Amino acid sequence: MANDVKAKSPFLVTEDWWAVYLGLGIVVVALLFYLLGGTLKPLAVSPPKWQSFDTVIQHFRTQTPWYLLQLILWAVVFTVSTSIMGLKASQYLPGFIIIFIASALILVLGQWQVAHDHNLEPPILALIIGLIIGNLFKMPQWFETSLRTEYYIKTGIVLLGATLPFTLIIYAGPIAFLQATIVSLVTFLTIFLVGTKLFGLEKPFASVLGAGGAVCGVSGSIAVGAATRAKKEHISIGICVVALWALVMIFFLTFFVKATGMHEGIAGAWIGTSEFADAAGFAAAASVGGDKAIHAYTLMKVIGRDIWIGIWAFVLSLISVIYWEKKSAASADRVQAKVIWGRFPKFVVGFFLASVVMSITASIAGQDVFDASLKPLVIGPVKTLRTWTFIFTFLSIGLTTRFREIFQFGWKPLIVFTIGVAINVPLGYFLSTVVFKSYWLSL
Amino acid sequence: MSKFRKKHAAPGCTECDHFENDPARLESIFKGMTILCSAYASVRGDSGICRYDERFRMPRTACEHFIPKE
Repeated sequence: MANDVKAKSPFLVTEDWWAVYLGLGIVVVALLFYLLGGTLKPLAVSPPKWQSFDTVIQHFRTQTPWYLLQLILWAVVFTVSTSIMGLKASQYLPGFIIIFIASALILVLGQWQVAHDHNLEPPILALIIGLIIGNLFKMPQWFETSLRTEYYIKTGIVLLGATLPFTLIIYAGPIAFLQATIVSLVTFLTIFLVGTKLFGLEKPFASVLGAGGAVCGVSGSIAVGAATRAKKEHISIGICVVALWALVMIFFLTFFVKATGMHEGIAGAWIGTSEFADAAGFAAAASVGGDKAIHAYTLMKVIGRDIWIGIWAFVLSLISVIYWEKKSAASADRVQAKVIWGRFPKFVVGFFLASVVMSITASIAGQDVFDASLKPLVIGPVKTLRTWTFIFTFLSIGLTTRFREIFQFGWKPLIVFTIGVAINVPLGYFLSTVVFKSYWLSL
Repeated sequence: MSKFRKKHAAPGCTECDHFENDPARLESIFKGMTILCSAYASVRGDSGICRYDERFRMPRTACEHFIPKE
């Protein structure tokens, strides 16, 4: 399989590009249906809010064929694409069918008024149920194949682009970049200096932990770990420490934001600087509530932090070669500027394109047409399909998390990273609630 | 890269027996990787583990320990 994967184009073997194809494909199809006088709305079905179970029975009595059609379409596109990436379709498909059915049940449960009253929104429910099942029962290998957290969340982020006006990206993007850069630099330097000066960690190891806390979580650790030639076991430890803290922060941030009644926009921005992984942050932002939290979070995390991972990898690669290994940059062929694009999270391209396409369409249609038909017939279904991808994501996070596997590290890296968290979270809170408050309030 | 350059390029990590960058194998080696990341992501790219020095790295031109893949 390794040779097969190597022989294929990067446009076919990374889930980033497939998320772009899939997300943009859905947006384009939704627009085509609309232009031809139809809508994807019936297909983008999801359970209604309910107090009496009769409502649920009545809903499924009439909508089951649409659920089946939606399942078939998701199953086909995900199975074909993962199969091209190198996963076995015979393992992926049955697992995905279970994920879809479980997601439907979680959405039903999450739409129950009682669950809503107890702050058990579908994202948190999916995560908790996944964590319980994943830690009590051993998952068969074929089922693990279908737990593609990153693929699902990246597809969801591209779909999110279609619901985020490009003007908003232009307006708030620079502020998000500024705030995120301040937090990222302070967090990285804290973890790096504490790790190397106080705890004697190797510099590449401290960089792996620092990038995990400052840039984009586990993905940041992986990219920087490769750039600085970190030891294999240090990558493993970095993955576990960052994942553990990312999971803790989902619950902490959700609880804190709800307990303090924080404004959605501010909450999203704070979560954007305080969470360590895209999927984990979306779980927190989606649990907080409406679109403002998700929009602010996306601006902060994707534009403020994620897209700069290539730069971080390139700069740290240079520093590693010239200062840590004392070689000349010219003689070290591994320092190549192409890493900036190579490590760029390509799904962001789809996110921007989806936003541009929908913004241009809305602009041509005019505000009245947008509100009267484009919003309910195009944006609405895209949003519902996005919700499904988010539930696939949160369920996958829970089901892949094995606490006995995560706790494979010593105290030193955990303490070092925790000190970084202790600086990162209050700093992000201060910047979101005081310094840049007006921007996040006006989203 | 042009066909000529590809044909005459010096061997690198990706042709070395020490180098492991198959995404499925990397995910089984790095426990917990799939919780919030993936070996099929752009940020991992073609990076992999060099079994000679047990380090995670981006592929480069072959070093003196190069052994061609069978």
